[in-house]
Amino acid sequence: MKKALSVLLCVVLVVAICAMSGCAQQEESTQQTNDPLYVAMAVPVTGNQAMYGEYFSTAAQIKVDEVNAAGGINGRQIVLEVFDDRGDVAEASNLAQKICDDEKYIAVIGGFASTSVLASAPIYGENGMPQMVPAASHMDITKVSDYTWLQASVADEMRNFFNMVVDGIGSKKIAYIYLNNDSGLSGLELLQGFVEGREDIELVAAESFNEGQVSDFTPLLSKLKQAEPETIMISAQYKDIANILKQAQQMDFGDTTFANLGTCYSDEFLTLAGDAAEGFYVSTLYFADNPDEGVQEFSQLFYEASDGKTANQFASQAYECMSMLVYAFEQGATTREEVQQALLGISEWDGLTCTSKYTDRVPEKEGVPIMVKDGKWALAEY
Amino acid sequence: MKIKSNRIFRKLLFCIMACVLISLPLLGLSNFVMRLAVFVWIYILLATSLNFTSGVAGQVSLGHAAFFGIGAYVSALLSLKLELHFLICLALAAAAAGVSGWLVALPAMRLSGGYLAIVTLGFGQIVYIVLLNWIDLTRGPMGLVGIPSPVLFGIEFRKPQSYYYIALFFCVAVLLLFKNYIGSRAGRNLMAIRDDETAAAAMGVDIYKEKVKAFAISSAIAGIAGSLYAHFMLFIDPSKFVGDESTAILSMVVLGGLGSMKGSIAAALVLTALPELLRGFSRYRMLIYGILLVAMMITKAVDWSRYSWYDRMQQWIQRVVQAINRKKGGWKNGAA
Amino acid sequence: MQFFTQQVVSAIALGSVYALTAIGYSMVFGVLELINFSHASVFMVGAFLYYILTNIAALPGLPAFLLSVLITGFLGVAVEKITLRPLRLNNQPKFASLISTIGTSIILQNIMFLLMGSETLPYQTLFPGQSISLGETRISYMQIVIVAVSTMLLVSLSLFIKKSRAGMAMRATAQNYDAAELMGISVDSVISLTFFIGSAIAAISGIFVCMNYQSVDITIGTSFGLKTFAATVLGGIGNLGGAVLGSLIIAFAEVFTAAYINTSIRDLAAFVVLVIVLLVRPNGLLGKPVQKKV
Repeated sequence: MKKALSVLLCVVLVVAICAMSGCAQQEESTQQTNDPLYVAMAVPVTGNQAMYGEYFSTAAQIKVDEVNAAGGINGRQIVLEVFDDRGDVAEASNLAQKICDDEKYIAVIGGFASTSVLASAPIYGENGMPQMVPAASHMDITKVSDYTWLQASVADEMRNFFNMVVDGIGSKKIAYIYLNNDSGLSGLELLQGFVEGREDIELVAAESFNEGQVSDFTPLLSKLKQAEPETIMISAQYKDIANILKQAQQMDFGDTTFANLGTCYSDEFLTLAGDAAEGFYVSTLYFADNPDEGVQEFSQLFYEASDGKTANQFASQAYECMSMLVYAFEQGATTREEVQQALLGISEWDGLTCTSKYTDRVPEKEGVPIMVKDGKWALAEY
Repeated sequence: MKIKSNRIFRKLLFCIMACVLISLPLLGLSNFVMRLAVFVWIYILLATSLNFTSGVAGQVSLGHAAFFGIGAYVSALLSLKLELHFLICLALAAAAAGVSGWLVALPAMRLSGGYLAIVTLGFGQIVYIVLLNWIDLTRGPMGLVGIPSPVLFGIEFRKPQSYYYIALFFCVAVLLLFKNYIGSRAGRNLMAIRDDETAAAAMGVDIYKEKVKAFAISSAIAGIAGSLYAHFMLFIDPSKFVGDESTAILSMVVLGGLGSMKGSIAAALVLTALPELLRGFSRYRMLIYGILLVAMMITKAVDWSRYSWYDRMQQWIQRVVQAINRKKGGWKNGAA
Repeated sequence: MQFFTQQVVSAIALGSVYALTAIGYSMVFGVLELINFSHASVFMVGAFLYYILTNIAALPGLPAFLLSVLITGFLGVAVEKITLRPLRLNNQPKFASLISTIGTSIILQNIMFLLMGSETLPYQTLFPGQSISLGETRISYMQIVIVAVSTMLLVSLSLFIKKSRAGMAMRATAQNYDAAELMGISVDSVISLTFFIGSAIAAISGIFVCMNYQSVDITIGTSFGLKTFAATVLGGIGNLGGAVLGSLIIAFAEVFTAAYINTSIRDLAAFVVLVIVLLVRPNGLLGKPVQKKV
């Protein structure tokens, strides 16, 4: 009795899965002129990284609404469909396959972490699906597939960061704390390269920590204190950095300045770090209070769309991903390959929130150095 | 049609299922479903491997994903750095995982209960941290990119439709191995250990040795699964081989019934497919998964005969089956 | 020398943070012989309750604290009744309970996710920024409070278990479930009580830990859970003093590895120490070997 039931259950499950996704086979391609243009988004909607998925989807939707309100592209509306990859590698790759199987999607924005992108890129590449990567900056991404488009390159970001510390703040002895993930690690390699190129600069210490580890940074900080750096550069997520700053405050670091590579720029960070963040420098790619017109406009749009949140790097980059796709659509692209070709035609992207020079699908951008002054974000002063 | 005999009916059902499973890639299903199918086979393999230790021998292991990871990394590194053939990589991955399992089991199998659980959990963590920090070898969080697909008889097994057969082959081979093992003396020894260690020892079973052996075999098979995973995903990083994965595999073993081969197949299928089926609920997906997990445990546990309606339903179904049998067959089938 | 002192201070501080949680874990574990994965989530829920009550319901500190602890206690009882009792009453293998607690953990985490999101939220603390100095080393008031609270917990729980009737009932149930029932102890009530106390302690530790780090998010349960679980086992399951000892050992291993060897392998050190200790003493440092009777 039980065996028959379990066999029945299995058969039902198999049929259910086939039914749910087999439908994808019957989708007609968007040949008719008034069908919408479908863009998929594969980001974390649940799980630890869900907040980033939200930034991405809110920001991209702003562009979509903007274009649709103006009548769409040649009369065709854009539809953005968001899928959850849970921040898991296997999930990301399966999702990639699911999206590619469905003929109607002609571009995809996603995922968040470099690992999700690296897992899904081969599949998008094989299916000729242009993949706009909003945040990940791992060095290998563009090598894995010809169809990946970055919004940030770790080499670029690190260069801006280094310049801010060395030329802006003017430190000669630097230390580096990093989260043991791909950006932290590649950051270290790049930093070591930069330091070698400058005789007057010395990297006195470099310490890492693992994700999900307990929030106690005192041994790490006391080690760094012994090396007496002038600036401590940190590459980690904002909640860890808030902890680091608070614990450092306890340990009396004197005049040492702390700086970060863009992940801290948010209001949540300020609330978490409190007064320990005073004098903290960040090299960001997006600053909401930047007097630039385009930036102001986007900040306002995002503020309204997200019920009062301040725009940040992640939001602006997702917006740019969508804008680049819109550009491709405006060039007349209606299939995956056409979108790819249109994107390849971009050598310099003049976006609403930034300008990037593209070489081999990797951008070069100018960073904006900012700092925390009187408990608020302001342009950096040295 | 006569329901002649239970055995023949079951054999027929089995043949039909086998034909369907073998021809699945040819049915024109979407790539996505085929991908899922490959993962189902890999997870059946993993569940079966854990079944050796936890199911049949009754030794709780909460760090099984570590051996999955060791297998994956060894196989990937061998194929990337030394460009060895897929089958050699797989064999060596299984060996590496098996040896690691054996080394872990040597101290661990002297423990029991909560102590064993936490030690296996600890080993799982240790392997994860090593994978993450031994950057020179594993590239740590950067992961291994561009793992080559298997090439056998001149064909590259890259698409899910073709990889399906590789996964199917190894999975079936292991299942046969498992079935034989349970039926053999070694298997019965393990089950004796699970049911009552003291009695088993009294009957002359070398408890420690048998447990270590089972653990080693278990890890070796997990290594095979790891290799299959690596050469299908073409990219691996340490994030997959963590405690959560171990507990997911253990859930499959427990759900299917400790030691039950068919049970872990069904459970692997259900637990792999479940997140997919729940995709429509996006934000609530994991919550529903958790609820279902608990519900499944409770339903297995609850003595349903206490609830008369269920009892009555079961009796009714039984009576119908009996009636059919009695009408169609002779005295043999009357005695259901 | 100063560097060394700093590490010792950090280790004791970290150890007492672990000890807070490990004590509760050890007690539940001891009575039920159950690996309770949901304990970590209950810890997190307790911490969040305090956040919700103080920030959203704007209750003052003490009532919010007491209320959070009580609610969490009852939550623990409910969890046991719904997810574990059916398994226990039907003599399911221990594995089934384990998986059930994993499911509960997923449920609790996701409920908090749906309610509070996955962002890290700032946590009110006691005595913000105040500390005393031992030479160049600073010890915050919060850290002293935690050491004090763990000590108090240890002492009061030990007394409760040794001297009170309920405590005796718990010990009897831990020793031999069936015999306890035969002696007229309502095992169901004892187990509910254990869960109540265990969950309440989890809430207390969750709140203090979050105060210490001044932040809370849905992952704090899992990140602390593993180490405290290890600490519990290291010291001997069911032995409260052992839980504290285990916590200190693990904290020392972590901190000194981080400071003198490499910061990124500190977790590794903790687990390696665990494995080594269990090799030498398979029942934990202070645990008593369980006699296997035929």
